Amino acid sequence: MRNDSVRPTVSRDLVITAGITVLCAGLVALAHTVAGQSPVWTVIAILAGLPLALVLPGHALTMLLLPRRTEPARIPPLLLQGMWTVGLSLAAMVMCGLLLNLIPVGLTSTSWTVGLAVLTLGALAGTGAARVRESVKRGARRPAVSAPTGVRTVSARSAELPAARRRPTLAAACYGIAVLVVAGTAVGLAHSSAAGQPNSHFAQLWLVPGKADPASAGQATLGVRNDYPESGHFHVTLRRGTAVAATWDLTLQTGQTWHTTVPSARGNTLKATLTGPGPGARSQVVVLNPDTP
Amino acid sequence: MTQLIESFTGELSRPTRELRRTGNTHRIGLAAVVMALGVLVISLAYAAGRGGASGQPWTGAYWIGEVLLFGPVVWRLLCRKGPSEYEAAGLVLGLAGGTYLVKYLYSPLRFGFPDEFQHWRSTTTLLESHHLFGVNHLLPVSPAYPGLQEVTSALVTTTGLPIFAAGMIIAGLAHLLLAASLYVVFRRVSGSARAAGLACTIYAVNPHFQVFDAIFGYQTLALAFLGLALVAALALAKPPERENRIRPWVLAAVLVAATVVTHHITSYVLAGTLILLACFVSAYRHRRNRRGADLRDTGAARLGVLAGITVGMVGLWLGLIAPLTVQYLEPTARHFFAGLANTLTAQASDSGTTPTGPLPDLMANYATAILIGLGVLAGWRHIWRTQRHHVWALAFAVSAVGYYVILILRLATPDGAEIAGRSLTYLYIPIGYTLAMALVWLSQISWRRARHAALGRAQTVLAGSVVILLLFGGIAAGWPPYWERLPGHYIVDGFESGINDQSTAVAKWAASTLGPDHRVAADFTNYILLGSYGDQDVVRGVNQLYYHPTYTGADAELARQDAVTYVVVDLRTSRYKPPPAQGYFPARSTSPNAPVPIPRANLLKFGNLPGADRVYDSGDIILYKLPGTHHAK
Repeated sequence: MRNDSVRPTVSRDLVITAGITVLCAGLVALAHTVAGQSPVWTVIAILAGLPLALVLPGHALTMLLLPRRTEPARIPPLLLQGMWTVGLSLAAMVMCGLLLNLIPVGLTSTSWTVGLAVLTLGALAGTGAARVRESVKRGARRPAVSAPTGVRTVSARSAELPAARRRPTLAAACYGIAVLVVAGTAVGLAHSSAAGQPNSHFAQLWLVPGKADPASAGQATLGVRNDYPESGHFHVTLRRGTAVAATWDLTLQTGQTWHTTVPSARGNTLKATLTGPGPGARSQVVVLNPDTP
Repeated sequence: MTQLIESFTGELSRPTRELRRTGNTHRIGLAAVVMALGVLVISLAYAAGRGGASGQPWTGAYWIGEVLLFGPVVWRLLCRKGPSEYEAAGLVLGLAGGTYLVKYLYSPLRFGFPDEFQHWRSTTTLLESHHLFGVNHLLPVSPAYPGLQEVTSALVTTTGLPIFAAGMIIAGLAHLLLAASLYVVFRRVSGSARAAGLACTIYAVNPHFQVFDAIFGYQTLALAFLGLALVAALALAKPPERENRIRPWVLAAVLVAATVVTHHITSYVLAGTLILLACFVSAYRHRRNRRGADLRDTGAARLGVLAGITVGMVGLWLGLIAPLTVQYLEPTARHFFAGLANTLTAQASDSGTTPTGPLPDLMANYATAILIGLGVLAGWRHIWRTQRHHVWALAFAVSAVGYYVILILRLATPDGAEIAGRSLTYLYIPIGYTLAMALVWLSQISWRRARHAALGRAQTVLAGSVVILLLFGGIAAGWPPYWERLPGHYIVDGFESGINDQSTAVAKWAASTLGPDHRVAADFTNYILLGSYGDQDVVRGVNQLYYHPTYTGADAELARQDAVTYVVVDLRTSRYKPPPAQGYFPARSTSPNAPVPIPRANLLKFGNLPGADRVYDSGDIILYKLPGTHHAK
């Protein structure tokens, strides 16, 4: 298994991983600076950010910390590789976050992007250095590692199988599609039933004193928000003491908010009443007593 | 050639490799499709619940879905021919994926479990402040264990995904990682794909695996790190390779550190587990020394060092970053040990708990306790006969005795049910392994003695029924409780079933209009939402403010002591009863005189209080601002 053609293979995986890391980090950074609300860049950010956070750091750390393993228990290599890749990515984020917390800017999109990229590239550099050191120790008689990652021990044997026998069969593909269709139907059904659940029919009414700053002293904010599932007409009556100070007739779309500023009570109770849409709608009441600042 | 075959197909014995692959494909494929159908049936039951349907037919459909989800896994692991390596691993991961989907389908559009809102708050605070260790009034200890928040923050800021989507991805990955890591541990200890698969399946029927330990919560992520740390510890116990002495230590230390930073109890369990393993391995080696046996390196010293590193990290984190943990855990620990003392001194406890619920759930609970109690004994026998040379197997067997302790404490201590449920999350690791050994042993007996294939299959069905019964018991004792097993039905101050649009709206209004950190008294659902979405400093233990038709001097003094500024009144508490065996309020220990439902006059009395403002009204929810200036205690 030793020949000079192995040397490019030993470093090629590191180069490819480093390249993908830089690409993902660059796309994420670009997406956050350029994107705005562009849906294309939103998708790019997701497609680049997911491997940058959940795959690449763990993959690099797996190569560094688990370079060569024999697996007497014959656990499937894909299981081990996936477990370590994702697990070490999550652990790396936990450790990285503690370090980022020490810098003044803290944990931002930029610092996370840079931090994860640096972590990944650092692990790759460490892996490369370790391989060089091992190959020097062995006099470059053997490849530094028999495979790019230790989990290849079994799959190296699998590589001896004719390629045609390792392709997924038609039956496996059909089962896979069936599983995806059934599970996808389950998810779609849950989404549609959750979205279609009967909504509460209500509106919000509030009357709050102004903030404690001179500009809003002596003022109160009266507000209404329509949380009915359809647009509606609302009638608001404001009373100062027993006298009607103002009335409003509002038409609000669902989710729409209306608010206005009114002078505070000044010796009289301020009371607002909201009558909502539909017959038999109950009045809602808010009250500010005269002593509220 | 034989090695190649064995490396791919595992235990199968049919002569032709291609036929074996085809057989494997159909078996795995059919199992996966049936499991997916189980998830679909559960989704149908959930949809029916949301549509207002209730009652036995759809609850029955839910149970059928669970049987379809677990049945193929149990069947393949127990049948005579047994699974291949890939099949066993695939079944375990498929089961983990399917169970996570079941949890996700319960609330697919937003967080729905109260604990998730607690961690949403911590994560949002981190995203807003860009720094760790902020303030969370709802779960004050949460910011001191920022692992979950960090990971979510990283995913949200790099991908732009909302917190819910990022949280679902992370919780799902953690769930899969836990299953994968446990499979690896069990596989390496048992030496059998079948036993490892069975152990993982039994672990999956523990009361909290399917839902509570899969929510967006810090224990979910910490459990994944715990599993990975155990894998690393298992590798560390082996004699190191000459060229690779340092890296296993780095790997183990990183995973231990990640666990410590993520969740308190899980890190304590990890420390205790490593100490126990180190003691076991040391005692085993000492015993072999005395007998003059082969003095192979058993890794006792390495495990001891790793245990010491874990304890050191736990102590450092607790002392320097998270001293609040002591205050957080102290009430639970105090109740626990008080109950334990009462039990040991045979004193009557007035607050022990017995299982509640429908008769089938109760029967499943008791049957589970009996089956586990007997199964552990059978597992001990098999482990002693076949694996007493393997120290980890012995450690699992001995640790399984903790189940009997938990059973007693569940009945004798306050909050016994909750403590038992939380403990079983960890105890089911050794219990799963021990029971799996028992099932393997019983299956082998049935195959040897069965004169006919049909009889052998019948015995396999019987063994599988045991596991399914454990599943029923686990779900019955688990989460969500039986009265909200199907989503969609509103129950005032229920856990998931109490989350509603109006309470969510008032919480978001409070955050945007009132601003953060006001001291607010509220019933359970509004407490959760105001403390999370509302970013308010919600107050516990002020239930009695709602108990009387007039605002008494004692009420005023209580409000003054707790610096209550706002009182939330939910008129639905005057129309509907709270969940069975629960109350309306966060402390869950309502006074004996607490009225149920709460009379409307009790709720509206705040409007008659001189100087009180009624600042918000959404029909069912009213917010009162109490008079006077309140200072925090």
